[in-house]
Amino acid sequence: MSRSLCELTETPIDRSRLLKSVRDPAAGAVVVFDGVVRNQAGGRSVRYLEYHCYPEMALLEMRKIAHSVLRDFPVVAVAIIHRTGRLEIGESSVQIAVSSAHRADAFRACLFAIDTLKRAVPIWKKEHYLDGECWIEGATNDE
Amino acid sequence: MSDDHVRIQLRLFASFSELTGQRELELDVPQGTTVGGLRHILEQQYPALRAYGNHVLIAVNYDYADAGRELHSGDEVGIFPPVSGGSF
Repeated sequence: MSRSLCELTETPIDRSRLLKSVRDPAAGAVVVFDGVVRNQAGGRSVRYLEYHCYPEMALLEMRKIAHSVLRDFPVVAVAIIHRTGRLEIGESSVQIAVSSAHRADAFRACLFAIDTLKRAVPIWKKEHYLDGECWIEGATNDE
Repeated sequence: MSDDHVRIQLRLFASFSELTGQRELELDVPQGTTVGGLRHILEQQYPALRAYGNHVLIAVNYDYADAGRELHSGDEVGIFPPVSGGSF
């Protein structure tokens, strides 16, 4: 049986729920990616970040990633939770958990999931500095 | 709305909503207008979008769409810059 959980949340990510959703008697490994807000960006001091999303589409794209993970990697379960709204330094913006029988598959699947998320899921961040703010726009496929 | 037009719901995100001052608008476009044609119409109306060149992403009904896709009445069209979720 394969399982997935995909969520957007405006409150801090519930890591125990994330981990619980991928835990399984058949899984000997759980790999978690935790994306954290840093205090520096391009040499400027960041005060806080603001994440905006296209909620309906973001959720669909997250489910597509979960589906690809379960289809293309020999893993047991995957969970993806992305936070939106204002985030302070040190808070998690995204957490992805993958469980598999052995560790290598979970590591590979988790890397695929975060790399795909950053390219395809319509979520944007705006960095707020001491002296201004800036939308961060990602790379396109042709770069 | 006349017979030779289709009415779409447009949603703009991130810097595009700030550049245009709009987050949502209803738009009537000529029948047969494609995603690429819509982009041209929007660039006329909001010249600031031109600076983005090919870095404009468009989704129709929550799915990334190619320039050649034709729009139909009731379509929801999302337009936005390249995404930047997660953390680096």
